[in-house]
Amino acid sequence: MATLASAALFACAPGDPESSSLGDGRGDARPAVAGGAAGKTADDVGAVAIRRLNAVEYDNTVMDLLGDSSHPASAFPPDDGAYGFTNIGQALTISPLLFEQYELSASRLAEKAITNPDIMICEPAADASDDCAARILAPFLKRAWRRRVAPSEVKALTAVVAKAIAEGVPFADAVQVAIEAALLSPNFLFHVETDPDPTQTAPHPLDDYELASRLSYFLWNTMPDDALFAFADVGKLSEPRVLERQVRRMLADSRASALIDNFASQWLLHGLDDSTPDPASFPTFDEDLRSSMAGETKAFVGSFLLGDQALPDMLDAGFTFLNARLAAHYGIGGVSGSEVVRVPLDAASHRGGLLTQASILTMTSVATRTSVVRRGEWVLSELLCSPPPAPPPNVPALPVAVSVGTMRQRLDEHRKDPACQSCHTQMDPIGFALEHYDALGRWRDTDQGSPIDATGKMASGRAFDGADELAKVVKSDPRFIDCVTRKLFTYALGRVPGSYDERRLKGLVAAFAKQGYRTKELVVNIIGSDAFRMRRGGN
Amino acid sequence: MTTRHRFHRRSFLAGVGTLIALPMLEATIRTTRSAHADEPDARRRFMTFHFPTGVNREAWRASGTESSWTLGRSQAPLAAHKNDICVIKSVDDSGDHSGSAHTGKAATFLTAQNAAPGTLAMGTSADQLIAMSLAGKTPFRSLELGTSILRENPNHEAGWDPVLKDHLSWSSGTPLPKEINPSALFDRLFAAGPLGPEAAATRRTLQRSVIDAVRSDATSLKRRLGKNDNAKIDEYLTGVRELELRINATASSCNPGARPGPPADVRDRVKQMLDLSVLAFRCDLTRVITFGYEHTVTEQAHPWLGINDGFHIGITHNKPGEPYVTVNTWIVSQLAYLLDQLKATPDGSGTLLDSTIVYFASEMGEGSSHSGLDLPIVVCGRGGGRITPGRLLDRPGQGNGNVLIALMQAMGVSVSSFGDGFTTALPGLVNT
Repeated sequence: MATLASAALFACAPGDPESSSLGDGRGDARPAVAGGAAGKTADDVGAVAIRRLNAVEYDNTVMDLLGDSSHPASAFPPDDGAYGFTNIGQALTISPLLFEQYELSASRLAEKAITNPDIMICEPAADASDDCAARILAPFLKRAWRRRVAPSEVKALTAVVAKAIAEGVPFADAVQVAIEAALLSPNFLFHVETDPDPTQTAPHPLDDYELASRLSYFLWNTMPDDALFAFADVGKLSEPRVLERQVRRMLADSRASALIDNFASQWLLHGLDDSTPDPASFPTFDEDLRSSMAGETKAFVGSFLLGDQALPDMLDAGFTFLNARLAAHYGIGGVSGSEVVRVPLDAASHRGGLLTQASILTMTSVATRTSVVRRGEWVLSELLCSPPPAPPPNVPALPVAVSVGTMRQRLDEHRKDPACQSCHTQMDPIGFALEHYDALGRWRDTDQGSPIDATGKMASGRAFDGADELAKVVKSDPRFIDCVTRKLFTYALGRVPGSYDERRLKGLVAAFAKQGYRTKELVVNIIGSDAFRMRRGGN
Repeated sequence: MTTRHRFHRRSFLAGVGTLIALPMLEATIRTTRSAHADEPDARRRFMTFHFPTGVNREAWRASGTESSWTLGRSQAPLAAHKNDICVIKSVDDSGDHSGSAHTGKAATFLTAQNAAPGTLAMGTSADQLIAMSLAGKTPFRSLELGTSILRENPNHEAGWDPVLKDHLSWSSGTPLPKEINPSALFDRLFAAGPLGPEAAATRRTLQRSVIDAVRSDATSLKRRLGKNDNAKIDEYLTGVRELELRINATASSCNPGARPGPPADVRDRVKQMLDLSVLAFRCDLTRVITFGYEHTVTEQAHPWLGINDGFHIGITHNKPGEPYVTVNTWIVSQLAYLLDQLKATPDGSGTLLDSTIVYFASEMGEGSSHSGLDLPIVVCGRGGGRITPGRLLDRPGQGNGNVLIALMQAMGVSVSSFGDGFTTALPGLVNT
C-alpha cells in the first residue's frame, strides 16, 4: 500500500526494526488508500519543479564533496523563498549575477580540489595513453552529480583535460579545469530528477539515487553519504524496510540538526536576523543577545523535532533552554555559561512555551516598541496557517487623533474603520495577550505608566487573558497541528501542497495524533507517502 | 607540482575594467574594446533610482506651470539642479488595482504589470528592455544595486510571494538580485590579476572549454525535462551566455581609484553605490543601472536625522508628518549628490548628465495610506538630447507605464505595448 496507507500502518511500526511503516510505492499497482476511503484512485503526487541547490545545500554539499568549509554561497545573492522556505523550486531562480558567482566559486573550489589526494588518486604516466584523468573524474563525478555517470559523460570531461594539456597546461591544472566544469554543470547545481516520459502525468517511483538525494537534502541539507550511495548502488534503498531504517538512522545522526537550523529556523525565526531594535530605546540589545535568543528557540524546538516531546507541548512546556545572558535578560537566576542548557520554569518566571520566548517577541516588534499587530499576524500565519489578508490599498490616512493614546486605544480607533476591522479583529487580540512582554521579550507590568491589559478574544469568541491562556487556546486549535504538518510537508517536497494533497495531509495529521505527536514519526510518514517517493512528468 | 598562479581565481574571469596600475598590463589595455563600440557622443545611459514607500504629499508637491514652477519643500536639495530635471506629477501606479498594499506596487514599479496574488514572476521590466537593446556594447548588460535585501518569507501580505516585493528588475520572468556590497561590486567590475597577454589567451581558451562543457550538459539535460523545468535550464543558459560575453570582452583603460571599504552605515553605503554607478558609466562598463535605496517595507532608521523609528511602520504609518518629510528630503539630497557627480564627469563633448537619464521615483504615492496615486517622479538629465529638462509636467490620467514607455523611447527602444496594455508615451516628456 502506498500513501496514507503508510500512516495507517504506522501504529505497529515504531521500535520494531523488522516491520516498516513505509509502504511500497515501487511497482505497486494498487490504488492508494487515502483517509481510509478504500477504492478511490490514487491522488496526484504533484509536479515538483526542478530546483537548484540553495545556499545552505551548496555549502554543505561542497563540504561533504571536497571538505571545503569556506561557505562560498555566503557571497551568492540570497535565495528567494516562497511559502515560508528557501527550497521551493519555482522561486529558486538563476540570475546572471548568481551564475557569475557559481563560476567564481567553481574555479576556487577546483583549484583546491587538485591538492586533495582523495581526488587526485593517480599520476599520469609519461605514456599518453594513460587513463589517469578518467580514473580521477569517474568517481568524483558520481559523487558530485549524486548519481551513476555514463561513460560518455566522463569522456566529455577527459576531453576537456586533453584540450587543456594541448594548450600546454600541466596535468593537475588540466584536471582543475574539468573539475570546474563539473561543479558549474547543471548536474551539480540542480536536484535533477527525470521521468521516463516528461509529458506524462502518471506517477512513477523515483530511482534510488533520486530518492537518496531527496532524503539527504530533506533531513541533512546535504548530499547523500556513503551508506545511502551504497544502498542506491544495489537498488535497495527504496525497499520499505531499508528506507525506514535509513530514515531513522539519519534522524539519529547529528546532521539531522539541519531540520532545526533550516526547517525550524525558517518557520519560527525568519525575522530575527533582520530585527533592528532602536539602540537608544533598547541599549542592552546586541548580537550576543540576538544569538542567545535564537539559541533558546532552536534548542527548545529541537527537543520536539528530534526528541520525543509531544509537539503541542511546545506552546506551554514547563522548561526552556537558556544561557547566562538570556537568563539574566529574563531575570532567571542560576544559569551560567554561553551555551544554552535546559532550565525548568515555574509560574513566577512568566515563561513557558514558544510564545513567551524573546526571539519571537523581538522579531515581531518594531524598532521602538512592541507591535500588537505583528504579533497577532505571526501567530495566525505561522502557528495556525491562517494569515489575515493584506491591508487594502488606498485606505484613507489615519486621523491624527489615532496616533495619540495607548496602543490599545489607538488600535481600538483603528478597528472602527470598516476597511480595517475584519482583519484587525483577528490580529489585535492575540497581540494584546502578549503585551506583558516588551519589544525584547522582557516581562513588564506597565507600559508607559499604564498597567498592561492583556485580555483578548479570538474571532471564535473564546476569551483569554495573557500569554498562558492564549497558549492554551492555540494548543487546542486543530489548525495548529494541521499547520505544522503542512509546513513540514512543504519543506520536505519543495513545493506547496495542492488540493490533491488534502487527503494525504489529513491522513498524516491523523497518524501524527495516534503516534502521540512525536515529530520524528511525522517525518517518517511524510517520507513514506507516495508524494515523497514518487514523481511525475507533465511539468 | 607546477606553480598554478596562472589559474588562480583572480586571473580566471579577470575584471573587464582592469586596473592599470601595473605597466605589464598595458598590452591588455590597448586591446580594442568591442566590435560594437560606438562613438562617445552617441552613448546614452539609463539609471533608475528607486526610493521606498512614497512621500508626504504636502511637502513634496511642486507648483506652477510647465516652464514657471517652484520645487516642493522636500525637493529643496534639487534647487541647484532645477534646470537638469523634469518633475512629473499626477501620474498613478498602474498596478493599483492589484489590491496589495506594498507587494503589487513594488512589482509594478518597472514592469507596469499587475501582480495578482500567487504571481511568482513578472515579465521583463523597462530597464531590462533597454539593457537588451544595448546588449554587447558593454561588458555588463546592466547592474542592479541596492542597500539592503528584504528577507521576508512568507510575505506579510498573505497571498503574495515575497520575491515580488524586493526585486525591481525582471528579465523574462527571472528576478535580478541586487548587489548591496560595494567592495564586492568593485571586485566584479574591476577584478584584476597580473596576467600577461599570453596567459590571458590561454585562460580564455580554458574558460571557453568550461563554458562549452556545461552548455552541452545543460542542452542534453533539457531534452530529458518537461516544459517548465526547461524554463529553469534556460535561465541557466542565459547565465552561460552572459558569462561568455564577459570572457570575450577586453579590458578598458579606466582607472577605478581605490576599492571601497566596508560602509560605516547606510549613508555611506548609498554614497559608495552612487560613486560606483558613476564610475561604471564613466568606464563604460554598463549603460543601465537600477539602484534601490532600501525597499518598500524597510524599517531602516535614520538616526543622523534624529529619526530612530523604522521607516515603514515607525514613520510612514505612525509619523507621516514632519519626520516623513525629513527622510524624504534626505533621500532627495542623495539624488542631488548623484546629479552633482554625473555633472562633474566629462563624457564625450559634454558631461555624463548630458548622456544619462536618471529616473527617480517611488513605487507608492503616499505611504500611510498605501496610496498608488500621484507618484513622486523626477526625470533627470538630457538623455543625449532626447529630454529637455527644467520643466514641471502635470499629467493626470497617465500611469507609470506611460512614463516608462517615454523613457524607453528616449533610450531608443520603441514598444507598441508595454505592461498591462500601455501603448502611449507620457505626452511631452521626450523630444520627438
